[in-house]
Amino acid sequence: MPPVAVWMDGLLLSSIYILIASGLVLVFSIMGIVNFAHGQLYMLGAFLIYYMFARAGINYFVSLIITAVAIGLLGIAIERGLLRPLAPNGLLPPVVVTLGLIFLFEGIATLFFGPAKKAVPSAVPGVSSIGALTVSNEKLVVVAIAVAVMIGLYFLVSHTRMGLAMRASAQDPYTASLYGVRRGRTLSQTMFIGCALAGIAASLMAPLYFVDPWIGLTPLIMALLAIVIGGLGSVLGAVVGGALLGFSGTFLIYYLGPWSELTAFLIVIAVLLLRPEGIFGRPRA
Amino acid sequence: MLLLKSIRVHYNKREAVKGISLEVGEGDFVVVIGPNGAGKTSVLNVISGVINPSEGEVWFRSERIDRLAPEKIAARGIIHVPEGRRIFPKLTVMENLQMGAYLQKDKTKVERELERIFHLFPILKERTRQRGESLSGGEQQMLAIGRGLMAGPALLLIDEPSLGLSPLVTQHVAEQMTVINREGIAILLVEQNARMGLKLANRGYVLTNGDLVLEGTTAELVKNEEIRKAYLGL
Repeated sequence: MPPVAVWMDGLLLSSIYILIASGLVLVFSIMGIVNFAHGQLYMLGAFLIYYMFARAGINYFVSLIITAVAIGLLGIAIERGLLRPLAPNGLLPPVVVTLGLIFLFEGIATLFFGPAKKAVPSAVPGVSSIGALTVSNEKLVVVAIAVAVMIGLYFLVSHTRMGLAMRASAQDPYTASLYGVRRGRTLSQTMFIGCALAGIAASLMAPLYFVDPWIGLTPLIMALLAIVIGGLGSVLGAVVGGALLGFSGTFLIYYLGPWSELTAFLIVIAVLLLRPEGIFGRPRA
Repeated sequence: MLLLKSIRVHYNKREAVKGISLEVGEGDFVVVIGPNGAGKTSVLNVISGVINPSEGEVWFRSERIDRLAPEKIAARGIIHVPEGRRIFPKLTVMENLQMGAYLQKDKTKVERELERIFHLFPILKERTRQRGESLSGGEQQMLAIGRGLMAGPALLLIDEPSLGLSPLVTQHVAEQMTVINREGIAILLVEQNARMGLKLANRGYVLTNGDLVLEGTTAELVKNEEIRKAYLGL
């Protein structure tokens, strides 16, 4: 058994993967689009936190909320301005557009924020003791917020009128429109929530890691892997996939050091060999 | 209540509906019969605002509605129960019903409507937590009509409810439509099953090739020689 501190780090990493993956999977399951620029939205969110919290000295939690809303609004702009006009043209345009946005956002970040790594100070300093274990408050807050956000997301999607309309519209937009659901509004809501999740993940992670224009790639890849492991289109799958990658990642760093990066892919290959549809996916008929 | 004036519908160059006029009175039960591809579904889609007619007008309670968005039309009390039922497959029966009441703000009204639907279709009450896709064809049709009723409609547009159902189940669904109509909800029914349609409705239209070729009370229509030959097999 790895030491408890390693479990804690696994929990931390899992929280972040889960937040990013669930935003991505929400957008995919409702809109049928993989937003490849999701990681760059995360990156922009991290810069927002840097400038608001680390530089301007705005309260961390206020900065977090502003970041989530700002990245959510950026998501709406992407959906309205780029994805929706291209919607009638098939599956490829959204792929090209969101891949293109990766370079656009990384370019903008490099140009305006500079390529240097930036550090965000700890938002919640100090440590707490839980029994024999000492954990930094920062990490506890990250996990607590991640759990709260995921519970909130679950409630929103499965127990509210808006969530019901989102799911109905994803399954059959024509029929949903007959009962008064406006597809456009549903798409905007979905994109807002999905991208806001990336903003929240960025806000939580920025004080723990550094910020630069290229931090979006790894979270995107990990989130995509989590989604594939968990089963495409299932938020629960993204949660389990994210946890699997987060814990196995930290455990393997502990035991194997640098070789651990490979293992994420080995896990994916193993899952796909045993269950091609993913853990929570449905076999295709 | 509902008035269609010289409605034309084009899909690209092809004219699917060729200038038809049609009327449904308050509390009326009207059927449109005709073969597959005659344009019956297009007419309903025009009324519910899913497609825009290339020409003509739609009036509902002295208000022109043919350029309104579907949700605006639904909010005015015209509810479309689509062909093939189109139950939301991954939503539960209860969630499907809730989707019907999406625009309904009054919670007590929703509760009352739900009571009425469970009274009308008791089988739905036993299935509230099941996914829509797990229901049989007949149950799905009942759910589709129930979902429509949840919106508290003044006029129900029902498209091919008998499609793929056994005669016995069709009979059951037909009886429920009569009950719904007797409670004051006007129905515009579109059916290939002319025998059933003419038995249920008060008035009928015959649509072939996008044109209305006959109209009248159903009592007159069932006596018509052409209809007896072409649609009733007599």
